[in-house]
Amino acid sequence: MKKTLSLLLAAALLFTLTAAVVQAEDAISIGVVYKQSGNPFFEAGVKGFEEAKGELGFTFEHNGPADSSNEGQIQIIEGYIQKGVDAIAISANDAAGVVSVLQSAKEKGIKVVSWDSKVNAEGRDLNIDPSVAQNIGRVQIEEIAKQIGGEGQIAILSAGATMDNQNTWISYMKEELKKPEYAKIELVTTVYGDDLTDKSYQEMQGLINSYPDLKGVISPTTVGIAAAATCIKDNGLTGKIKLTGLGLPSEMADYIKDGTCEAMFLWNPIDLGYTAAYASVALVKGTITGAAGESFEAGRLGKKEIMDAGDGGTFTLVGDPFRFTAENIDDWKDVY
Amino acid sequence: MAEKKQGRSPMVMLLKHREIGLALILVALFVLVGLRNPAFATLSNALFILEDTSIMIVLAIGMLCVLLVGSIDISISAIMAFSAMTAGIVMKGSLNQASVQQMVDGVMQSVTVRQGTPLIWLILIGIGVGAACGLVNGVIISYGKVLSIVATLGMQYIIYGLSHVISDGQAVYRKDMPDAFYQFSRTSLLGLNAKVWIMLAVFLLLWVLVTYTRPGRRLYAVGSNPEAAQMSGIDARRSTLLAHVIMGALAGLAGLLYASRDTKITQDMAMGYEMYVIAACVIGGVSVSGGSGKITGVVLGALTIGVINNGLTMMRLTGNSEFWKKAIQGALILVSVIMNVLIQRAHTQQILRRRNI
Amino acid sequence: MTGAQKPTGRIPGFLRRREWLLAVLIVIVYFVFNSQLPESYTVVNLLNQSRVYMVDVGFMAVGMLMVLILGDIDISVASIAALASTVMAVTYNAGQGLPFLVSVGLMLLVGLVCGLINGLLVTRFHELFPMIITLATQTLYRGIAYIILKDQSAGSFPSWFSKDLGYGSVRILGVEVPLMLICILAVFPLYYLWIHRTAPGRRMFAAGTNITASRYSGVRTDRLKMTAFVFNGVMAAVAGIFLCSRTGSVKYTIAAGFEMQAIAVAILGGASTSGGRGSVVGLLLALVLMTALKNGLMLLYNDAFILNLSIGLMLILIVLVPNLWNMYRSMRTLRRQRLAISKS
Repeated sequence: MKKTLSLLLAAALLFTLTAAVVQAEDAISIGVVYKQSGNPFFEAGVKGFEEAKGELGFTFEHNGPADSSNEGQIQIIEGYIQKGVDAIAISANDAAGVVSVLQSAKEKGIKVVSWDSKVNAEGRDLNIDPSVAQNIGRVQIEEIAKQIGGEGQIAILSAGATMDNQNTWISYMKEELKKPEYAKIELVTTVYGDDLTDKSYQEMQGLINSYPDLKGVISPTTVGIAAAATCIKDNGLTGKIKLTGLGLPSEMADYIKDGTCEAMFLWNPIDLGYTAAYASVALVKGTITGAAGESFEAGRLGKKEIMDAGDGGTFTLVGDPFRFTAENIDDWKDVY
Repeated sequence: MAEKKQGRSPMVMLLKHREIGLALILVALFVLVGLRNPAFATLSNALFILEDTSIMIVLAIGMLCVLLVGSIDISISAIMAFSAMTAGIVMKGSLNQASVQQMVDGVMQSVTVRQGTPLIWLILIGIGVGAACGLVNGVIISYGKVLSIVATLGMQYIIYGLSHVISDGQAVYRKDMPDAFYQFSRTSLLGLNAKVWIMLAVFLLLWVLVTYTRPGRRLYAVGSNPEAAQMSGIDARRSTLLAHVIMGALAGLAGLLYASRDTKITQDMAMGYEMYVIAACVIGGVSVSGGSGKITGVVLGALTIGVINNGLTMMRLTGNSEFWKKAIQGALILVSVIMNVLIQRAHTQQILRRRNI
Repeated sequence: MTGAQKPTGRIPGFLRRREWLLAVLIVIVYFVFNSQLPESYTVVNLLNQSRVYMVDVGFMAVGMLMVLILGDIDISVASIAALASTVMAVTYNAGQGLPFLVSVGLMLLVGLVCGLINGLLVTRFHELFPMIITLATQTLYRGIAYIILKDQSAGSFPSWFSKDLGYGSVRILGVEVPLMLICILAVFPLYYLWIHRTAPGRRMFAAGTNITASRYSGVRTDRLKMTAFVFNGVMAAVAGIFLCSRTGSVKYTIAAGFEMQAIAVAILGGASTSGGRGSVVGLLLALVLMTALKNGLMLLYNDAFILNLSIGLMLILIVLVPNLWNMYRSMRTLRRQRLAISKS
């Protein structure tokens, strides 16, 4: 009786979950790994893979850890290696932390493309950069300077103090601020909301309370900018404290329309996923090896050049960040 | 009567009412941080902390009930996410902006919530879902005799998984929310935010429940001595169940407030929040082994956590390193908890000494 | 479940022991997934994947088991692993600092000291539930790692460490067995002897069952608790060693959330948070079951939340179902007795 019971339970547990993933034998298979499961930015990235799949006819799976951890990503990658995928496309939580496991993947002939957030050179074949980091830093400074009229205090609300891409952008922002035309702008502080909405909100409230003369805030993270917008609006400071940064149109639509955030930027995650898919297939087919100087066709986005990234590896660019304003936000808010 | 004459000295007063000691710690913290950053010790910031901590207070009051019966619930953050997500799916479904799973289609048709129509539906759904989760927790713990840590740890995994399944990984944003829901945590009355009013209502309700009603007193009885309670005809299982249902319902309510405040509902919302709530209870003098704890203490405990968190944010703004924040937070929680034990010990000694005389 | 009662009826008695139940479940899980994924879900692949699912969480669970047997809990283990790893990576400093093995020694020392602090706090403040103390030290230890490492990641370990230990394997009977797996398997027989076959081990079970009675009968329970927390801290540091060799780099966020996995495995293996129960064999089997289940689900559904959901279900059911079965049985016996009485 008990044996039957436990047999039944275990079987029910396993079978009631949906049907198995069936893999086509000859098609190229790509394993997509992103930073966090359920993050809308990556959901949009997956749309790019879907689109490329329709054009190229590969199969792919996608997954990210529930807690945006490095260890979770390693588990997923190990699963892909075990399944025998042909390529892995990853947006890494820790550029150094997945190098070992990706090296073991490469030893088995699997091609590795990093997209959105890079993997260190030893662990990848090619990096798909959304945009030149310097440009990302520059446009946000230009925007905030324009909005606050070229003078006053500004602050940065970042994600985590340990995030490589955030820190790179912020260092370029500081570089940009040294230019004479920004002499009257004072960057008072950088705070970290850890990409958690409630913590970002608290940090923003702290900024508002501590710096009564604050004119503008840059938040180069989608979670941070949304929390900052909510906080500014809740304090009735819409228009008094300007806001820009990197945000998701679907999340920010209302704040852009009511003027809390006049303009913000983001590259197109769909294009990012789309390019990563084309690059993975080109690497697997052997049309490129990922060396600088090569180029590949990326469907509707045209020819992509591969360049030396300066960190020992190579990269290619998707495009410049797109500027979202009240005029164009309605076209994008239902896309991603 | 003799005690009364003796008990006049301030030290004894302090020991008799541990809440006063806690309040003093709170004031000390407030002044210390205020010296570093004057913007901290202002009325508007104090109000902000109160508003921001209201959600934690609501949860901590629920946790008090659970701890009183000698149980614990570490699935509350999952319940918050699940309740809010269910309400969020109703919001989205009615707005026809997302594909809704077929299994909830039927429910959706009967509960169509349109832009501007009753918020009360959403609140009821949230509280209902939360209470249902609490009921499952309670049944597993009291009737299934599974230890509460094990049961709620498992339930935490399961409930977060369920929010992932019902949402299909999609978040709910401001554009999907009816205005009434957006305003839910933002309306003010007599200068106080709705969150504070809701917290006060929950406080009053539960205060009356645990101090004056029979089911409430039973929570204490069951926790302090289960055998004695059993002997005197109290069904411990029913009390445990009640505590968990209350916790679940309050977690559901808190989840909605949290979602409305963040104007965003994600499947992993509030992850890790349960530990702060438990810490708030312990700082507030609730015994984790059950049977003792005051609702006022819990409120002060939650406020202490709120002041620590906000204080660290404000301290950092005046040049202290970001990197020190976490360690200081841990150390402060440890110190608060230990202070509490020391006060308690002094109190016990006082009583013993008095008895000897 | 402890096998104390004599089995009645048609149910094979051995299933009442958690170890056998786990063994049966492992076989079921294996065959179910193997039938779905005959190519990728094989014993060889599972052995290889044990590096990911079994080793670091396994070492933490080994330490946790002892703490749980004494009726305590420690949720700071993952933070101890993080702090120890941080100290190791920073002192080694990519070959510029101390010799590697000295850094590893320091790492173990950090684990020991952290465990000692936990133990001291727990034994000095009996009123406080260990969960609360270790909740605070959890934040504190990881906070210290954050202060040391800031936003950097440290790594560049010697290649024997990150290649051979992290990804290397030994050929045994024609099958590649990861070196890491051999390391953790080697621990279990010793641990079994310590816990189940020595007097101090037995005293731990006794103290976990009834601490007051043990204290009155002359057992130094505080010393036992200290041993358990210190051992737990050292094991957390050992877990950190293996985790580092696998990731090849350390950030202060390393191993976040592992404490709950370790607790879940120990409970699955038959331990109880109220103390006095636990089994080394059960722990090993629970680790194997977790590996088999997680890997299968990862291959089949590739979804982190579904993975967690099934672990949660498993955790509750494995405790709940036998409880319900026992209740049903005692009710039936009671009814039979009543029936017999009324007949006579």
